[in-house]
Formats: sequence, structure tokens, C-alpha cells
Amino acid sequence: MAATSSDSKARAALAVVVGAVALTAGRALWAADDAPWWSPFALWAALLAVGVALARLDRPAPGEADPTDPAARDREGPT
Amino acid sequence: MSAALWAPLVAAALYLLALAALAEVVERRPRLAALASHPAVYGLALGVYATTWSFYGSVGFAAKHGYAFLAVHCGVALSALAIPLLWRPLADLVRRLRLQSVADLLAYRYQSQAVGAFVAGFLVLALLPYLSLQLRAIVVTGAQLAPEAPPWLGLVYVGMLSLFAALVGARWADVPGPASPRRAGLLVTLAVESSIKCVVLLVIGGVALSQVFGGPAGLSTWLDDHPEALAEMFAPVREAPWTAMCFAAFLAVFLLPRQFHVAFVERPTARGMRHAMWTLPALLLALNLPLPILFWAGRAGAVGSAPPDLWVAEFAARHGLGLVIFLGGISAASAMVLISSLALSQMVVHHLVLPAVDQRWALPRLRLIRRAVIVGLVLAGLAVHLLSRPRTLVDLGLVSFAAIAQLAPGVLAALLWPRATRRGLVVGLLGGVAVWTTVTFLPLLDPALAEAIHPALGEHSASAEGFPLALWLSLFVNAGLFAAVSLTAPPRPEEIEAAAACAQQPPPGGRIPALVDVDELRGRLAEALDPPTIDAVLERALAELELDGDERRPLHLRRLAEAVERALAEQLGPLTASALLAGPLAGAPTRLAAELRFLEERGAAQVSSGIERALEVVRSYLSRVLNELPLAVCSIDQGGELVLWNRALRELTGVDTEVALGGRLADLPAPWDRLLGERFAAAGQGEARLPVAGGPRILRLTCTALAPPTREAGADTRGELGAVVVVEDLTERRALLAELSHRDRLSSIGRLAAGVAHELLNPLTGMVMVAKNLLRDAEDDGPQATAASLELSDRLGALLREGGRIQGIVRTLLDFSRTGSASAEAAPQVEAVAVAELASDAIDLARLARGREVELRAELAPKLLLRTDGPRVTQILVNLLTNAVDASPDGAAVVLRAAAAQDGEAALIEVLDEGAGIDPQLADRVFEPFFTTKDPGEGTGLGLAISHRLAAALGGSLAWRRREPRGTAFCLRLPRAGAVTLDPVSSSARAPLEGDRS
Repeated sequence: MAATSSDSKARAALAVVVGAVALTAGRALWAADDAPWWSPFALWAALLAVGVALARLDRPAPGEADPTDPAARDREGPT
Repeated sequence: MSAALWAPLVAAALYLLALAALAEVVERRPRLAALASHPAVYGLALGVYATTWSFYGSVGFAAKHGYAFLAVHCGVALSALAIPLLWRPLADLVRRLRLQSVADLLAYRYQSQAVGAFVAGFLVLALLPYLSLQLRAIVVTGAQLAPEAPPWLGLVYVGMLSLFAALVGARWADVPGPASPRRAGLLVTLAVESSIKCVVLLVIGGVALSQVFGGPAGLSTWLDDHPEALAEMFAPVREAPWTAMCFAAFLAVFLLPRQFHVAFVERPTARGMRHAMWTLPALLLALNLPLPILFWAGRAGAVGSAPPDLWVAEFAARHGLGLVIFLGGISAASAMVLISSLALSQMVVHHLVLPAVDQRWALPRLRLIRRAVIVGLVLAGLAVHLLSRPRTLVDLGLVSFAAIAQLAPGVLAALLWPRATRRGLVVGLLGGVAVWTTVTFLPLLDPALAEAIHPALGEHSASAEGFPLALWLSLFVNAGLFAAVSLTAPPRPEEIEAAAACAQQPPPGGRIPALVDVDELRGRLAEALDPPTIDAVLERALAELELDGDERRPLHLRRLAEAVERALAEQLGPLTASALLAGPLAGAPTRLAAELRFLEERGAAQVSSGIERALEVVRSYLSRVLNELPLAVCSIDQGGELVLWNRALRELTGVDTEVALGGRLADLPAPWDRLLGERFAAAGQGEARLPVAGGPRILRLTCTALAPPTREAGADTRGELGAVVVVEDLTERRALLAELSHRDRLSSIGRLAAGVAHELLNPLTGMVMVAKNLLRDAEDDGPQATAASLELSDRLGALLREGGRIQGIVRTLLDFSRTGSASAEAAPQVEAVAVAELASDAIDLARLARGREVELRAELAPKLLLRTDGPRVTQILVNLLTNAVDASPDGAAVVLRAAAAQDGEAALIEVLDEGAGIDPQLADRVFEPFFTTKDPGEGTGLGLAISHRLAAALGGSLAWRRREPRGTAFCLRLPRAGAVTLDPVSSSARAPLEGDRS
């Protein structure tokens, strides 16, 4: 089911807040001497996964045309 | 010189040529151009964010601040998650208003050319260090690759880059717009450059991992053996300006001119933006992953004594990959220089050049001006590189990041705060820029000034150490002044309108005065544009809207003007284009038609809030009700444009809704232009007869002025919101009323006739009795009867027959008047009757009744018998014959013709005269009781009415038709009593009958 604009914005706002908190917390975590060298990249990968999830939730319903896509416009003719 | 000296130069030249060729090939081949709309291309093109700062400088930054170097990319990953929140609304805004830069956005939103000029000038100043950073990286790494090269070789690199930007970049500035295929080359080129620098870094990182550490396990072992190397990466994060850099990167990734251009101006697809939430962070992750490995390789002694900023280049050179890493650096630098100079040149041309010079002079030379500006920008970057002190690459970048953050309050307010004003923005920007200049920009140029401003940091004021102070203080001053000053005074009307346009409320087209035709628009454009440009712009806009050059409908002309304005906004900037289209009448209120059209068009779009959704449901419901109303309704706005044209009116007039809407009443086809126009002018209510096929239509038109809901009672509100016209088709209602009235009149006449007939019947009965007595006396004379008495007997007999007929007529009249049906009380005495006998009697009686010189003759089929009531048929025939005689001139002939009908079931008896015929306007009233065209006293008007009803009562019908060349034929159809052998009368050979209502 296609996400409405308000749902999409609410999810994005939540993700940004969680991401900002995670980055701040990560900074404190890295102060520990025994953090693996790849831990900053793991946090980054987590942000990436959130981005993938948001993109999937934000996708339009099947058959719904994207008016900003020139290829879709060409397929469907002038609107 | 040796080949090693020239190799980097030749490689760089070939690389840039290959990029230009790639752009050309992509733009020439539609299948390759279609790649530009692929989401991966958008995500990769956004990777232009990673410049030589990331490519070379991050390792140098890591050497000082450890993993804090990731902050400028973690902030980007966070910003990518905010795409639905911030990026998408900005992209919609830029797409709708055809903006070309962040300066265009601020100038449009705050309706100030001065704001645009200030922002353009400030960004040029702020980004010159950033531009110089790219040039410095190329010059330094080129020199590192060929240490024996003369110093001027660096200038050659810079010249090549500026030439590349001027020749390749400027052509994309020449052809803005989503319809242009040339944009595809830009995005694909940027995506390829991002891919190259990413692959190069991954390759170098992979080489470092395998050659220096022997693989991932070796790296782990090395880190275990050297815990100080790991601590060197983690520990500085606690002290580094982590949050400030994350926040600056969060803003810079969409506010930097080059990022704004790629993210919004290049018209991203919704799919591309959606996928950028992960493709951009993924690209930057891939770019950053090799950097700590390269840093530790440097710590492990793989790069000798080179400064950290050059570790990547040094390591690659030592492993035979010097040219590869150099090309990777060229890739990062050329993409940044290309797109930054393109974006900055748009700002400079729109807000500094065009407002300052004569547009008639400048517009034909736009291409040359843009190229000159691009070259000038690159050379200015070189000047900054030559004049400023040697700095780390990251320091130069951070100065620009702090500057870019100054745009954030104005841009975010454009999306979220309609109350923000131009004055607030200007004061806020001045405050923020003053702080930025003082705290970070001037120290970059002069170390002595840095010591004076910030003794604790000293020359580090313009580096990462001083960055939080520069960012937070400048932003605090900027945003605080912006909000405070904006709240002190209300925004100007044009700012309110622009804020509404930014918030997707009614469009800015209301500022454009009404146009009469396309030529007037052409004339308005001719004030600043040359004819070929005007023709091209108009042709494109007309094609886009599928309109003709002779368009005259106001709404469509306004849409055309808006399309032209958007197209010119790309070339001239939004304010210049708006001023050109709006002319001296700018500031007129937005037309109702435009507002309603906006709502209709927006109806299908997604709505964001519950209230908005509810309002949209109500609007849609009311719109549906109006459209489906069985009453024909149209409404006209204050400018005389048709705003509403519902389905009933479309069916009544035959004028399609699409044709009517947006046009003027005068543009409607006749007679609706006159009918609706007169009613709109006169207001109130009126009726009109509309001659159409099938009889006239009676229309009632009611025009009511629409007043705004907030007007005081009694105020003159006419025309403020236009008017609504309701058109009612009264034809059927009037016909029904006429029928009711007619029946009522007949009922009254019937009652009167009943009284009169009753009074006549009594004396008539007496007279008949007397006549019978006289006849009996005359017959009693027997053989003595004289000739005189015999003649008296004959005449008395005739008297009695006529008296009897009179009694029959009076009784029929009584029946007619009492019941409206001749057969209700006096049932016909049906028997077989010869038509010849009836015809003979009727002709004799007609001769007696009319003593005129008109020949009466019968043409009868022999042995034609009827099953009917003989006296009543005689009565009908006498009525028809006497009417025919009355209508015929002297010497004419009236013919009574009888024959079998074609179906054999009935007989047709026709009475044909040679009179003047029946007036077509009276055709409907022929059988109406008491309707006569005879002179007063000559006829009662009952003859045909009675005959018509008698025929119906006898199971037949009476009708009439016109004869050619003149005369009338009344045709009585009655049931037959037997077969005949005569040739039937061919009805097909005659004119169609009229008045057959039975």
C-alpha cells in the first residue's frame, strides 16, 4: 500500500531523531578502548539499513505512475 | 622533459576529453539518455559531494582527529534519511517554480532581487576556498607525481579544468529544463565520476590491505600489536567537533550550490529520491571504508615522510598506481569544479549580471556571459589558492561548510514559516555572515587577525578546532535575528503570495494581468527579449499546454503566461521573469478561476494532514453535487471568466465543459453568448425563447451576484466574487400548464354548452312535434291531396329530418360538454352503411347549407360499406364539406373521395378543397373546440372538434394534410363492413397527415 505524505514524513523524522541519537551514542561508545575498528562502519551500515527500510515503505502502490519519471511520462503520454 | 613529467598532464587531458565525449554520446543516444532517470544515477551523481577533501584530505583529517573524519559523511547519511522530510518538498518547490539555484529560491520566496544578489555574492565568496581546495589538491598531487615539473604546470592543470568547466558545463546552463536531453549527459557524467573515484579508492585500499597487512586477518593482527594506532582513531573523537560537523554536513549535502543543483534543479524522479535514502550513504560508505586502512598503512611506514594529506597519493605512487590515484583525484576535482561553477554561474548571471545590465544587450550574449563567469570563478579559486596560506584541505572545506549553513534559516523558513520576512532574512544573513567572516574567514586569510580574534585558538580559528564556534555562533546570530526581525513587522503582500506558492497554496499566476490574446503576451515579452527568443519560448509553452496561437480564453492565456514565466525563470531567474510577465499591473489579486483550477489540479495530489484531507473530501463532494445537479448552472468570476459549467448546462447548450471553462461569455457559441451575457450584465431573472428544431424552447435565466461570506449585510457586493447563472428549461412545464389551462377552459365551455343545449332541446322538440303533426295532417288528405299539399309534405319531411339532425347534434353537444367524450352516454348505433348513401346525403345537406358557386362532387369506390353509425358519419361529412365549401373560392370544386385503406380493414373518406390551406402556426389548434378562422357569426368552432371526437367514438380517426399546390384534405378513417374490389388509395403517395390525435 502506498504511503501517504504525512506517514512518510513522520517515519523520516523518527529515523532522523533515532539516527542522531545513535551517532551521539556511538561517539561515547568509541571512547572505549576495546571497540572494534569497524564499529563506526557498523553504525553507518545500520543507518543504511534504515534508509533501505524507509525507501521500501515509501514506494508507491503497484501500478501507480510516477509523474516525475520521464520514462513513465513517455509510456503514458501527456498528462 | 621526460615522459613521466608529461604523463599526468596528458592523462588528465585525455580523461577530461573522455568525459566530454561521454556526455556527448549520452545526449545523442536516447537509450543512454534514459539512464539519467535511473535511481542509481541520481544517487551516484549526488556523490559529487565527495571531493578531493574526501579523496585526499580525509586521511589527513584522520591523522589529526581520528574517526571524526567520518562526521562529514555520517551527517550526509542522516540527511539522506530526511529526504521525505526536507529534500522532497524542496524538490517539488524547485520543480514547480523552475528555480535554478538556492539564490533563486531565496530571491523568489522573499521577493527581493537584493537578497538574490547578496546570496549569490556571498556564496561565491564562501565557496572560493572550497574551489581553491580542489585546485590545490590537483596541483599538489600533480607535483608529487612529477616532482621535477616546473611550477607553472599547476597553472596548466587549472587552465584545463576551467576550460573543461566553461566548455562542457556552460552548455548545460544554456539549455535548462526537464525536456532537454542535454541534462542527461550531466547526471551520467557525474555518476561516472563518482564511480571512478569510489573504485579507485577501493582499489588503493585493497592494495594497502593486501600489500601492507597481508589481508584482513593481518590487519587485525597488526592492530592488536599496535593498540595505539586504534586509539589514535577513536580517542580524538571525544574532543573533535563531531556534532557540529555532522550538523554542517547534514545541511551542506543539499544546500551547497552543487548539491542543490544535482539534488533539485536536475528534476530528480520520485523513485530516484526514494532510493537516494540508501544509495548515497552506501556510496559514501564505500568511499570511506578504505580510508582507515590507508591511514594505518601510512602509520605502518608505507608512505615514508609525506604529509598525511598526501598519504593516499604517496602510497599509490609507491605501488605503481600513481597515475590511477591522480586520475581519481582529477575525477573528484573536475566533477566539483564543473558543477559548482555551473551552479554559481547561474546565480551570478541571474542576480548580479542581468539586473545590472541592459537585458536587451545581455540576453543574446547569455552563453558568452556564462562561459566568462565560469572561467572567472575557476580563476578566482586559483587566486585564493595562490594568495592564502597553505592549509590542510579539510580546513578550507570547513570554512565553506560554515558559510553554507547560513542559508539554512532562510531555506527552511521558505518551507515551514510563512511569517518570515525579507527584512528578517537580510538582517539574519548579515549577522550570521558577519560572525562567519570574523571568526573563520578572515583568520583563514590572515593569521595575525586569528590571534587577535580568538587568542585561545590562534591560527586554529579557521580549522576544525574553531569550527564549532564559527558554526554555532553564526547560526545562533543568524536565526535569532531572522526570527526576531520577522516578528516585528508583517510580510509584504508579494511575500505573502510567494510564501503561499511555496506552501503549495494558490499559484503565483494571479500576479500576471489578464491577457487578451497571444499577441499581447508577445508584445509584453518584446520589451526585453528578441523575436527569435520570444518565438522559441512561446512555441515551447504552446506545445506544452497543447494550445493554438489564436487562443483567447483568459484562463488558458494565463496558463500560457505562467508556462512562459517558468521557462524564462530558468534563463533569467524567477524575479526577472516575473517582472517581465507581470508588467506594471503586478499585485492584482489572484483570480478565482486560477484558484479553483489550482485546487482541482491539486485534488488528485496527496494531502498531508487530516484537516486537509477532510477539506478535500468536502470540496470534492460539493464539486460533484454542482456538476451532477439536474439544473443547468454556470458561474462567472469577477473578471468575466467562466468558472463552473455543469453537466446539465453542457447537455442543454451542447458546449463542452473543457471549451467553456476559462473562457469569457462572449467566447461561447451563439445564442448562448448573447443569452448568458445579457443576463450576467442585467442580473436578476428573465425569460428567453430559443428557436430550435422541434419547436421553441422557453428558458428562464436567473443571475445572482456572489458575495464573500465576510461582507457586511447591505453592502454592495456585486462582482466581488462574480455571479452564478441558473438556466431552467421551462418548455415542458409551460406546455403542461397550457394543457391544464386548455382543459380548464374546455370544462367551462362544456358546462356552458350543456346549459345552452338543454335550453335549445325543449323548444326544438316542440317544433319537431308540430312539424310531425302538420305532416300527418298533410298526409291525411289522401287522394285529395293537391300538388301544394304534396310539396308541403316533402318540405315537412325535410324539416323533420333536419330537425332530427339538430336534435342529434344538440344531444352530441350535451354528451361532449358533459363528459368530453362523444360516446360516453350516446353509444353509437353501429350497422352496415353504404358510403355512397352517406356521401349523397352529406352532399345534399351541404348544398342546402351553403348556397355558393362551389361544385360538390363525389368520387366513390362502389359497394364500399362501413360498420358505423350512419347519422353521425353524415354529421361529420356535412361538417367537413361545409368547411371545405367555405374555404374554397367561387368556381372551385370540393371532392368527397372514398376508397378502401391499404390495409383493407378500414375505409378512407377524404374531403378535398382548393382553399388557401391552413396556416402552419394554427396547425395544432385545428381540432380545438370553439377555434375558428371564420368571421364572427359565421361559425362556432365546434364542427371540427365534434367531428374529431365523433370519429374517435366510431373507432376511427380524423386527420388533415396540406394539398399541393393548394388546399386541404381532411381524411376520415372508419372501419369497413365488407371487402371491395377497388384499387385502394395509396397513402404513401400523399403528404403525411396532421392532427391525427386519436
